[in-house]
Amino acid sequence: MFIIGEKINGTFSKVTEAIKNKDKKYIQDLALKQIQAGADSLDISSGPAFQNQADTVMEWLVKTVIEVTDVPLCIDNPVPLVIEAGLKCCKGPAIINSTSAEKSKLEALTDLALKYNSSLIALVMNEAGVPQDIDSRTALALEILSYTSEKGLSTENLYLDPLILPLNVAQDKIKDTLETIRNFQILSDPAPKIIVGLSNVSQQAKYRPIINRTFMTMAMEAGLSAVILNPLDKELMQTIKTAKFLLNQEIYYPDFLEN
Amino acid sequence: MTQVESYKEKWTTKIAEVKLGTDPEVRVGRQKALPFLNYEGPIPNKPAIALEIYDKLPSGLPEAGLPAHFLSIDKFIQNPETYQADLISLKLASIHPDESNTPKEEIIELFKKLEKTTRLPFIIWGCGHLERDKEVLLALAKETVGKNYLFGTVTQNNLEFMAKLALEYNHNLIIETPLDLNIAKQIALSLKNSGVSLNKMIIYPTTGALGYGLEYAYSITERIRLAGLQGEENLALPMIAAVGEISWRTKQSAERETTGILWESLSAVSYIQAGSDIVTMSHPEAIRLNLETRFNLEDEVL
Repeated sequence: MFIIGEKINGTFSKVTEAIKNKDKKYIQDLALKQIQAGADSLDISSGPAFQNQADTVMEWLVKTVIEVTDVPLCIDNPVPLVIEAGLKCCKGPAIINSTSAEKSKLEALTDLALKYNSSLIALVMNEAGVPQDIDSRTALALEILSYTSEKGLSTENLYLDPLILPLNVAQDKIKDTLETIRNFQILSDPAPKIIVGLSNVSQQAKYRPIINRTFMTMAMEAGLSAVILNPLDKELMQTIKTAKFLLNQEIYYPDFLEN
Repeated sequence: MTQVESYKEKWTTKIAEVKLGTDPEVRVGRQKALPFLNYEGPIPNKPAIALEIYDKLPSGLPEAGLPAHFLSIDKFIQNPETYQADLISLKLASIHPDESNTPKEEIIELFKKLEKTTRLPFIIWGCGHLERDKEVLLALAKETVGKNYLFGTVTQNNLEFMAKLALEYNHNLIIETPLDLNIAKQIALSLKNSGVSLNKMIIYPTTGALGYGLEYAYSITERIRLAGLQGEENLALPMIAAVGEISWRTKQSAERETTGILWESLSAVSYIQAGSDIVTMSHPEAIRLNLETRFNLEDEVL
């Protein structure tokens, strides 16, 4: 399970404050804490507050984080120019978060991925929005897959996101997401990587952590290979560890919560 | 004639390399393939054979179920050069309160006598009694600082002083598990968290003689090796099988010496095939047979 830590995001007020005050230490501590808790990669997002200087903020965030760690960074922004600003500053290969199946965006971001030798997260939606049924999502996934592989992007570098809808508005669609994850496995050989932004499932809910970790085990069983989540949620990380044993992905040992 | 391409497994992880002794230094591990399948990955080190010796023989050999060829320290040092092996495996059976409860000073004296007669690295096994093992193994470890020996065994009950043995006196450790992968992984992890490096650890899955549990121990040994090669870092460790004593405590070996020799030899070769990197053995003829097999199998180009 490839874990991307979500905490360096301007939607968190403390992060926005740190960006405004150029507080490097806060960002660096947050980066290291997430890695210590088990993150393999860090999502970097300026958030909604810095629309005009998003590229400058992205540069500052990336440069700040790479001072303390070499883990691959996940450059998170809707605008390709801002993404490129982040990619330029990265030391090693990064992950682009994200494109959709919408043609112009998919073109631009696939080009960036090839140019900077990065991986690409692709959401199975387009200008028409999020497809409501499994087959349409699978069809969009196929579109994305064939476009990117034609352009020369290896399946190893593609993360498909089947899109989670929140429990409080689409509880009847959650099982569909699991089914979609299962379907995506057979789209190519080797199978493409499958990612979700876990916190979306509990958006606006009262009991977010338990909703997140329960869905996580279901998604793991369905074949999830990567996830954007809060690694500082200790119970979530313990749940993932436990699920790995139950799914025979790792050898169990009795004291696994102590070690 | 058409060449048929062999199917080759791709392993992700190399087994850790453990170095025993100083001069000579015996290395085990570092392979990235199943035993003898050297076309799938490098196998830089040969399986090592250790000669079994007791500190003192159990009184009354036949009653103890052991034949005459078994060695005590005193017997070994009479003709040390007549024995062929890569290592010496010393069992401190007499220190148990139910045996002779030998004082640690006497053990140290005995050991010093033994050490003078051979340059081979030592494997030193305690008796299984917590207090006596703590007292004697720590003392012996301190006495032999710098020699880089292999001390055993670590269980879930003695982690603290065995970790100390490795960290303070810089020796290697045998992790004992009752035929249980999960416990092996847990002990390895606990030792690692105490600061012991993975390349100072060897796993002892517990050994069953041919006809007396060999198949089960074989399958556990194989599972541990496969898990290691497939990415379980805490199980990617060399393994040891203690074949000598148990092979001779069988009905079959008691009937005839030739049967016993074959019993021991076959058990040893089976464990090597399963993934054991060290086998401890007792009969010189069985050892000779295995050294021969080892060389023949290695020259085989597959």
